[in-house]
Amino acid sequence: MTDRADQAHEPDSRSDAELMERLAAGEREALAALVRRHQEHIYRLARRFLGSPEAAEDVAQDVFVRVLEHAGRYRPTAQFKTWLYRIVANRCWDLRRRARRARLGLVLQEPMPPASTPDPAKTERAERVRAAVAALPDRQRLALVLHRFGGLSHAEIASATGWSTRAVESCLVRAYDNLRHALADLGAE
Amino acid sequence: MIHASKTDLIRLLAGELSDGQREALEAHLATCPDCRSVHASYRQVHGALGDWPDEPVPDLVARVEATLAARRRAALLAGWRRLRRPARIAAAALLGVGGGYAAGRLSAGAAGERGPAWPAAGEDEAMAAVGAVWLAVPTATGLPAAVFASDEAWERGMES
Repeated sequence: MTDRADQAHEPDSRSDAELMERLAAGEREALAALVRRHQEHIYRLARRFLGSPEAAEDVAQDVFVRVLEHAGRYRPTAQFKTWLYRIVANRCWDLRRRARRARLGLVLQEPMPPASTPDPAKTERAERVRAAVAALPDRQRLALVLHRFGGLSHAEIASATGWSTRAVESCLVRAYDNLRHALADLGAE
Repeated sequence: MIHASKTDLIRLLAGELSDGQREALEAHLATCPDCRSVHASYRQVHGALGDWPDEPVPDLVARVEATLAARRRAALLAGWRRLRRPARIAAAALLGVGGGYAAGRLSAGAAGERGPAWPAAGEDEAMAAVGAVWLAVPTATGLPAAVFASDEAWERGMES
């Protein structure tokens, strides 16, 4: 895949809808542009939900392959972000469901990578947060990750997951209640 | 007293309330210690989540491209396996023409003659090792084509 934006050293100004239209027309370069634009937040969402960097990479890669496969079915009337996050949520959920069925130990307690500026207090705080989120039930964790880190509204989370808005609200409230008890001694930064 | 909904407290932290909703909720929080306590603990959680740093992201472009290429190869092989034997022989002949085209274009003799692009004796042994034989006569373009004895022979030939 060539990357027109990289060659021009300029940000790609084409909208997601335009790139999807080009992708549906067979322009494979449009897929590279979409990957570069969205890979960060997709990978980080999957990483925070699944815990494992390898699983997150698998999901992120799979998401973009599905974007290509479904390009012909994408309609610009649907907001691309919502459509994309629906694929992300489905893939994350599928992976967790298969792991539970196979009783595979998807690692949700990955050790923190070395901090770029070592600050033991900050690193410990971040590790406490990560562990507390990892301990949440899957639905609460997915709702929380999509809301807090994906910036999705309750309605957008409902659309991405197929849950009712009421179910999303309930998951988020329970997630926050669980976390406020788990992190009660953390204090403000 | 009617308390604030926890959902609205979370939406307040996420900046999802309208100006009117936010003002009404903040007015209530000013008068309700219970809701204020829940809001404070939710704010602490919201802030703590922000302390979870972003991690470096791998470059996925190459990986996605590699996955797509592997799927294309698998699809080609699956399609080949679905062909009936006479079609495979015909396809092998065509591929023999196509595969030798670049060399044949530079060095092929007249149609019916064995030109410099014709397989050398050593290549016949190599072909036999994977279960294939060159056609006794060249194709109409003067380029060689091969017949593979089986699916497995074809795959061995493709891999070699």
